[in-house]
Amino acid sequence: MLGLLALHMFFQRNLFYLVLCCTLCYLVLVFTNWRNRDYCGVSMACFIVAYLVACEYFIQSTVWHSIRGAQIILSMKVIGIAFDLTNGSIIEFPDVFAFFGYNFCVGTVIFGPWISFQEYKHILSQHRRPIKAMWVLKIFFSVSCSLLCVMCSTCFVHWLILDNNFKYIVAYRDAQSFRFSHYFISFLSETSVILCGLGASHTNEEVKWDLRVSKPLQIELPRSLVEVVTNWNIPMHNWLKNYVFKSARPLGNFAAVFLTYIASALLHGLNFQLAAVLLSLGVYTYVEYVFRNKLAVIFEACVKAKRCTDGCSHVYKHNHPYVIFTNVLFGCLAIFHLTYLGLMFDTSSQDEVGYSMEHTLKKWSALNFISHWVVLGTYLFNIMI
Amino acid sequence: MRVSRATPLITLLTLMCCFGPTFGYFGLSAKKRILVSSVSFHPHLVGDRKHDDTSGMSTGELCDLMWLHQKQHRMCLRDRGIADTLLEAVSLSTNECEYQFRNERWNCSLEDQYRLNILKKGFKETSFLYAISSASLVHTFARACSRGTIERCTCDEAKSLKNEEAWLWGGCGDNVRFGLKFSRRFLRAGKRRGKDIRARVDQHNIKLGRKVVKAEVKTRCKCHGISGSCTVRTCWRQLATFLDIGNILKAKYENSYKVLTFTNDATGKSPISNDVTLENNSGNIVRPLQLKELTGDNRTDRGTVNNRFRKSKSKRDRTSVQTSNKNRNSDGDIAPSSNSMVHLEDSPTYCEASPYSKGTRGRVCDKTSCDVMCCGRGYNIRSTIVRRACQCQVHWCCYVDCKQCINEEEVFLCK
Repeated sequence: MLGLLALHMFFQRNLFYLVLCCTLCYLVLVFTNWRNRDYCGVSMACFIVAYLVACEYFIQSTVWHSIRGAQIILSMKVIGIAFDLTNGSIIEFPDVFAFFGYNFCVGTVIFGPWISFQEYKHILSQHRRPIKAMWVLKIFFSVSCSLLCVMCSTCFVHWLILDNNFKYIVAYRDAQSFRFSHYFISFLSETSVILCGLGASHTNEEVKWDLRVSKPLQIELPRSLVEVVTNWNIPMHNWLKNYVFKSARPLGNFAAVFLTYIASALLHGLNFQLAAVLLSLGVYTYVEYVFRNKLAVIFEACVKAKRCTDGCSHVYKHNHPYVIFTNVLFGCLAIFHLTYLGLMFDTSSQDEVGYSMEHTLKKWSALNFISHWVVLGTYLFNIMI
Repeated sequence: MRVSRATPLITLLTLMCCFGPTFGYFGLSAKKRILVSSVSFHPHLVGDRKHDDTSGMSTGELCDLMWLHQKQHRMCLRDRGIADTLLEAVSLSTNECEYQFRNERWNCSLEDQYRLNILKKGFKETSFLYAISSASLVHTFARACSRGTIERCTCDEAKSLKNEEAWLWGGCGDNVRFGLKFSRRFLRAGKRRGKDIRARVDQHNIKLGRKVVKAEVKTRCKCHGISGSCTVRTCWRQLATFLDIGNILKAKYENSYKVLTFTNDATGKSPISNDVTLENNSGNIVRPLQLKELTGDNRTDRGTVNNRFRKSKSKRDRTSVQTSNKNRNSDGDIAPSSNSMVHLEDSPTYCEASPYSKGTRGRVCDKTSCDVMCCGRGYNIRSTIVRRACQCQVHWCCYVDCKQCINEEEVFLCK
């Protein structure tokens, strides 16, 4: 109920779309459950996609873009429940109140990170939840981080780098502003979910408030694009990994990755700009992953896209100068790609209605599509070795 | 001290009454000499000016420097911040005027003998001076509020911002409302209410300056949300730079309309045409759409006996006046509205020395502007040897070492 109130405060009448979606989803779930439990997941996914497409085209642009965020969370939750029902993680069918309560939980309804249904029920069934110092500390930390990020995004970057600089620097500034805006939202969501009492890991009767939605440090000074993508939105990454990647694994590695990015693009709304960025990211991460793997095998060094675990079999471990140098080089390349991909999310008038195709192509052609060429070159190089 | 100053002021007032139009506006349109900044530079290249020469003075001395009318003087004395800001407004309008007219025949030279003569007449340049001095007042006061220079006002209270769902912070926007309010009261305090056409034209141009500043306030927003969606917006209001406002006023200056009036005392009836017609740049006579605006304060119009400036709602049937206005609308004719500048007399050419300007002989011009500026007389080219600092190097820490380069440069001077 509180969730609905929060929604109302933010979106006023537009919350109608979200409520509608939720009720329809429940009906679909009930229906498919009654017929055949196995098809719950897939049918829910199809329904959500259809609903998103309808929203994209039939709702007024400004409205759609303001509720798009909450809609993403809702979609993820609903599809999560459906797939869990299919593969047996949830045994008993959730009743109406549980379903609605989970979907509109006030801590996660607007910005909130995705939490799984099991986690939600588990935490609700806990009886003792004292207010501890760690909880307050974590909230304080999240709030201050979020305020810092929003000030950075709106004010600082524009003071530090002015408009008459070299165009790559300006592009870096625009992308940076966008990233900090994202961190702001992530920290805000962390705050809201922890205020609600969710988002903790319970190990041996000990409660640790360690939910992190995104890790700015790993993104600003990245090791690789793969790491960036993983740390951008950790709950969403987990969701994609569990529900899309694992389901699509049988189709092959490349296809699975590709499908994951397509699913992500679909979830974010059928916006050309976002889809272009996400698909480019998909290609870049794939190329980088394969290339660095090959290099790791050839040179027997810890230069893979993901951090090596302690027991890896490489000759040159991560504190060797050459390894450090190579990793830094790849990190710089990742920063460059990030700049290129993020620069379109600037404060132009199309903020509120979603960026159009012309806007995207214009921005990219201003930099001569250089990032795409670089990736192509990397791939060809990869083939040649 | 103020009482002893009041007597000469009062005598001056009574004298001025006999001489016609209005007295004691402010800044470039002041009837007394203005404080010309000793350093002329372009405000867009430099940041804050330090009033080194004025920081030691008290508020009273500062206000005295500016030769204000009595009520204006009182408003100035209230706050040290106000006095400083007034000075800043004068320098801002001076610099902007000089910048906008740097390539024109009349280069906005602010030597008093020329400026005061121009102010006595109703040229286009007069209109520009009035408009830009009121615009600079609004602009500097709005900015000064957000900087905190003036104690009486703070940041933009954002009352007029729409209260939509996701406006989070108002920030510290430029307080345009205070700027408008203050300038309206300040300029009203300095003038004698005149009902003749010159007073009306002046008031119109002053209002125009204010309107331009108000219209150019932009609201800028930034969206925050998951993957760039617009769940939360941070917005702030920004005044346009004074360069933009200067450019707009210059454009209006170029399209300024001349007021032609008809007197109809002889017939006592309203003439066939509307009472006020305006002539635009190409010499075509156009009819104004909204007479009300041009006649200034409606309140002062009621019961006016002076037939030279009659309101549109006269004995002449209302319907026909309105239909003619409607026809104007649909015709798409260029008709002036309250957003145009108006003037009374044609300007002189400013080519030769006159009471209004020094003329263009000997002025420096550049390739593009020489044709216009030299009035067809041609120009002389003079080679001068110019010493400039070049190949500057920064030494750590912290001085700059420059070499002197000697260049021969060509300077174009009008004949």
